[in-house]
Amino acid sequence: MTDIQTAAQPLNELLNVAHDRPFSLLFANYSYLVGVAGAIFVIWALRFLITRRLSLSEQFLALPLAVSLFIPGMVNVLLELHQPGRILHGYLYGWDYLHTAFIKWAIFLLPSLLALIWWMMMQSVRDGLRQYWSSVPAPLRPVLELVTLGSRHYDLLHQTVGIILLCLGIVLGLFATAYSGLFLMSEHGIPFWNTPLVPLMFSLTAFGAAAGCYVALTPLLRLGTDLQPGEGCEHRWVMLAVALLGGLLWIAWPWWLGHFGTVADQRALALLHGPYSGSIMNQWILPGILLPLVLLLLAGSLRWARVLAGLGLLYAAYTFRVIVVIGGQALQRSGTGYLAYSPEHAVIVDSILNLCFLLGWVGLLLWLLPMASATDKNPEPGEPS
Amino acid sequence: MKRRIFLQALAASGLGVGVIGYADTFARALPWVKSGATVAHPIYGMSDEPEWLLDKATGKYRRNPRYILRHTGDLQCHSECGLRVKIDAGTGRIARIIGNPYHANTRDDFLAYDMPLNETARLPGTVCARGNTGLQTVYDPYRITVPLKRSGPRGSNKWQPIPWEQLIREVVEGGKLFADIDDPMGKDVEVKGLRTVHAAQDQLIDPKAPELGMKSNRLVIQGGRIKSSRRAFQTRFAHAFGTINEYEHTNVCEITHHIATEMVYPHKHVVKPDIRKSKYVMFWGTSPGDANFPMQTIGKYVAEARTKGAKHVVIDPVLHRGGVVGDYAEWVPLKPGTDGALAMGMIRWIIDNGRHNSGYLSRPGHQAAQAAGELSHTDASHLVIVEPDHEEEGTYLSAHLAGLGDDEEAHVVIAAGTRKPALAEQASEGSLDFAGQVNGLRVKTAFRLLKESAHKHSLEEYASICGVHAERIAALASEFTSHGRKAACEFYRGIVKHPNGFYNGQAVHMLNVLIGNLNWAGGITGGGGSFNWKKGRYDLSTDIPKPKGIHINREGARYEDSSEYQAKVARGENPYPAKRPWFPSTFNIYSELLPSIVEGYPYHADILIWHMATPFYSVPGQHNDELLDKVKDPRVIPLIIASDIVIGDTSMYADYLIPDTTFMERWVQIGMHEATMTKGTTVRWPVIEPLTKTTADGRHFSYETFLIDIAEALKLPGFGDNAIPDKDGRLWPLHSREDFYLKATANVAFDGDPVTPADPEDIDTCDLESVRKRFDKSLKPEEWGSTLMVLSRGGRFEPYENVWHGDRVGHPYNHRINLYAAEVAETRNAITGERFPGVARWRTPATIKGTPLDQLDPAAQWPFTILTYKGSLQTHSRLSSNTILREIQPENWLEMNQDDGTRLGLEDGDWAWIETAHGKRKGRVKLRQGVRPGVITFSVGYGHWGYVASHIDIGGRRLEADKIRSAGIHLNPIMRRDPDVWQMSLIDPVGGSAVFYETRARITPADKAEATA
Repeated sequence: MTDIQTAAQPLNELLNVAHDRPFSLLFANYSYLVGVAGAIFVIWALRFLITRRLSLSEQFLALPLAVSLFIPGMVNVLLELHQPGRILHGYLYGWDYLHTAFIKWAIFLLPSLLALIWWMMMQSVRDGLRQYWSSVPAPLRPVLELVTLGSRHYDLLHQTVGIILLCLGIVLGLFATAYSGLFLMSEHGIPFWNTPLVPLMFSLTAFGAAAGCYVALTPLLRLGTDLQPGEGCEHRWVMLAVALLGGLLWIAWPWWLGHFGTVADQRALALLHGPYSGSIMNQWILPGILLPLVLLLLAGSLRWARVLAGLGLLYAAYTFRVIVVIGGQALQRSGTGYLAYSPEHAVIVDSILNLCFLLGWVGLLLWLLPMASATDKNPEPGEPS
Repeated sequence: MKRRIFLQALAASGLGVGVIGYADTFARALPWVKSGATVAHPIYGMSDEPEWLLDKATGKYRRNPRYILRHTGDLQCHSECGLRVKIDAGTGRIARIIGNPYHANTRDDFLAYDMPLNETARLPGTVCARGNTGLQTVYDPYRITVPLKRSGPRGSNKWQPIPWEQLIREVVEGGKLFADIDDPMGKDVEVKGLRTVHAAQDQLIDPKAPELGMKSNRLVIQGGRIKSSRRAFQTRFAHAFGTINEYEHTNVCEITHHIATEMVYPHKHVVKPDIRKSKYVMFWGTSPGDANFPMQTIGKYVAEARTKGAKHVVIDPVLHRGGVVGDYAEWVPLKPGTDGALAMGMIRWIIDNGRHNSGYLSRPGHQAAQAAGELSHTDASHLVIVEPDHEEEGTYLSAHLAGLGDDEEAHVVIAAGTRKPALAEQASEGSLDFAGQVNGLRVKTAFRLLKESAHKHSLEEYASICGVHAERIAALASEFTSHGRKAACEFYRGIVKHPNGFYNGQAVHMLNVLIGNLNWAGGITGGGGSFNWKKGRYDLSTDIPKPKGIHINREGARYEDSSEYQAKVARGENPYPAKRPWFPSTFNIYSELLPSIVEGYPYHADILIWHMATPFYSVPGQHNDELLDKVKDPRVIPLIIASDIVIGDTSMYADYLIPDTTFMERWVQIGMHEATMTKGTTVRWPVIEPLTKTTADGRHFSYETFLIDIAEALKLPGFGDNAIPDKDGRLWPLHSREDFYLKATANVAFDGDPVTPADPEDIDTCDLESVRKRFDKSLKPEEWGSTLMVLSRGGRFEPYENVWHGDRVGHPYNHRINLYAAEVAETRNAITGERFPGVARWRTPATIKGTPLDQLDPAAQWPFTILTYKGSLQTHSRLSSNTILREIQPENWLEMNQDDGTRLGLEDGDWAWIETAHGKRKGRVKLRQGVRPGVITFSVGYGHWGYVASHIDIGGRRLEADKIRSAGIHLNPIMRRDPDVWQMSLIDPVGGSAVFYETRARITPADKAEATA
């Protein structure tokens, strides 16, 4: 029996003793929240570049949602790090030899994206800020000026500088959707991760989840406001594309592993086809590929179908990350089998706290941001208002 | 609810919960300026700096001032490898462990002893994975650092920290020590303290059996891996106290190997092949790279030999890591426990085909051998009395009985030339194959006895017994005898942990003897020996009289000499069987201690001390409810004290726990293993400050500190002031362990030609000045320089050039080799009365009463035999804390043959039940071709219940169980016990080994519900 045939044999399940594995559910949380935030921003920016409209609820609520996902997402990094202070130092003072590690670029780029989204968010509500400024108590005004980056005084969003920054933001947003996958891909010792399909799939699923947010969450956030409902048909095609491409890539991945993979890749394949096959079908393929495809192709014009498809994509984008993050570390390099995984108590608690933190940010931003409809500049003739 | 209020509530609650929940994380993140200092190195970030710094101007290395380097000895297994320990000079914590390049275990061409340390920067030694991870044993988060006293019933794992002074006071004075806790069985027990038991050293245990000795023998010390000078320290205490009962673990390890070796090579417990120069090495019951002495070194030697064209053969039912198959390697998967049959088959073929070295074997004495150019001589031509019922039957024919004078010790041969009896030491050659009469007595030569023993079965019968074809047996014998003296047989636990273990071992030794390979390069070596730590500058073997009496496990004594036996004979009764076996030819019968104490045969114990001892984990069949219930009952054993580094599988059943030091924090002086062929003594010493707390006068808690404080409380001789005489007769105190072990190190340094005093730069590299200052008064000023030199090298080692002298080994063994074990032949089985044979033979594995094991547990019901092995990634119980090793192999399996698994419907990774006569366990199966059909094997070291594998309560604080330590399966608890002796493992009645490889079992697949349970 050759090594490859041996490797492809069913794997032993080993007891989970690796509770100090480098990446836990927290990495999946981080990848998911930051990636989806980045994708929400990219969709928002593209839509604005095309329509130049801010007044619709999707456009108005998307950036607070992106910020609310981004910040808790980054907290997961602090939770995973044994020396969180070091990463903050890196953010503020830079790092020697930026070319030697991928993570060092992300240390600048991801916070830059967050700052950009924050600023865009304030720019998008500048009319409201101006409107409510007189009602803000005088002692709070300096703080508010700082937090809003003085957005009530200028409008760069509709200027050339703003357009350039938007384009830069789109690049950073795309980076955010793929970064955690790129990070995993650079781990040469882990065949499950060391493939360009990981960042591709992470990016793709982030866009699927972002579309799901636009379709399923913004109507919820709009409740109780006088914001105009946005039309969701375009997200039908985003979701459909994600499901189709995701399905194709998912078929291509094992095929590639099977035909060109090393012994280590074969073990990854044995994991996908063996012990993980049930989870993959139930947690990823069904909600993330089959359900959206069926709903969108058969009843895509119906709102409930789009909402259900969006929820499926939202769910599957997370479970897909969990499968990849945990699966990569489960494989034993010695070939002795794979490690079964049950999250530690602390990780579950941290994940629940993360959700609370996320909801807190949503509440805070939607409470404090002025809900006055933004002014749409230079609407194109014939555009709905 | 209005949207605004809802959002306010959501924000307040969400952010509130988040901020509070993450407070610790944010707090850790905030001091970013401090913890975010610029990385130390642009490439390596904050990784440890190297221990050496290169001075580019001079091209020389010097110590990195951030670290100190110290050399010591490992104890992650018994290989005792030399270690180089990198220690953070600021924190005192170990940063890294690698090999000591001056040590033969860890560097094949080990470095010259006088080479300065800084010249070794690019010449490191290597240690195995276990050696590298040793710091995880030291920094186990569950280390005990203060004394603990149980606060619930024995085994409840409820403990209360107590002051050291309270520990000493209570165990010395005794009393109702557990009256104030919830312990129905123990609260009213009046415990005899050590003072009371010691004071009874002038009272006989049983006036009708005075040979049992005094009541102070009722202190029993059951040690684990306590060796050499540490063992001597323990013995010193025991003898001063007045008890004969102090032991180490050897009968669960490999005692029969030692006894079989000693009977063939007197005064030696181990002989090894000179692997590197051998052309053909047979590994019996072991394989290179698995547990052996030393493990990694033998593996490296075999690899080196194979590159030179040597072949090695692994004879074992299981193909382990080192047992590769292919060119220059062969695997012979014989039936378990039948090594003796295979060896005797080979012996028969060798003798029948004249392939034995008759010229060598016929030299009866040292002078005759020297004259013939031989490097050793044997008793092959010596005559043995075989006259039935003669009172000297089974002994060597003496000159006196042969009518050759009055000497009752001198042996007799039939001179080859005259064909007449002659004194062995005077004859130049003796007849090998002789049977006849001398002075009216029927006699045979030892060689003749061996030949007749080999002829008891045909080659085909041997083949049938061991499951190896007769043609292959012949081929193995032929190949073994085709390389002159450059062939050797090596054996270890696999062949001796059987009821017939002694004879299996003796038979394999005979293969070496028949080709006369001792002392020849590529043959067998007795090793290089060691430097004397006991005497020289100080006399550490102070002659405290050894207490008299019979060991509680009846080792080293003949039942026939006991009052019990004689009383039965006087009453006209059949004196057999005794209640439990006696072991006249062996020692350290560790497995018999607990059952003997509980049964009170030959007497009970008042106090039991465990040190590094874990009989419940290690002894086959001993972790069972019936015995546990007895041990848990303070009325049976009133006081149990354990010394351990953590709360272990056995120490959890103690009344008091003494915090002990790990191998990085303690001392020992121990000789080199024979396989390295090097004279040397490894010195293990506290290279870091022990993690245990200290006594009021600053001594760290440890086993030795405990023994010293007890001894001083009882005013025992050999401790306290005026305890150790130096060479001039001046008496030195023994108040701390350094008072003893530093003197032992000085003895090593000054044995023969003293070693050169340590160089100041080496002293600086190892920070030895601090040692000198701290323990200045333990040695004379003029001794420190050489003693520090020994510490700087982690021991004393002779030059590599001494390993060989031409075609001979550098350190020859010069005693007579015995084909005939006269000492054994003089003894009997105390259960059956059967006389033990003195010559190698095949014996069917049986119970102590002689019931063949195949009848006891028929194959039709029990088709599998359980074997155990020590892999290179675990072995000892204490390694369960080494999570790095557990990352490589998180759990163990029931390893079985692929075809067996398929027949049972099992696939790799399936759960299955393994059942024996004493219980069943559930484990995952691993199917592979490297296991003989009918065999199940598992790696020891997994499946703990102690060592924090289960919850512990200390001072009311609950420590959660650590899954890593309970992972896997452990089958020792369900291994076969002897049905005729209460709670006794199956045992080798001659060599004394507890039997690990003869438990019959059956396998049944676990159903789905059971598998997930």
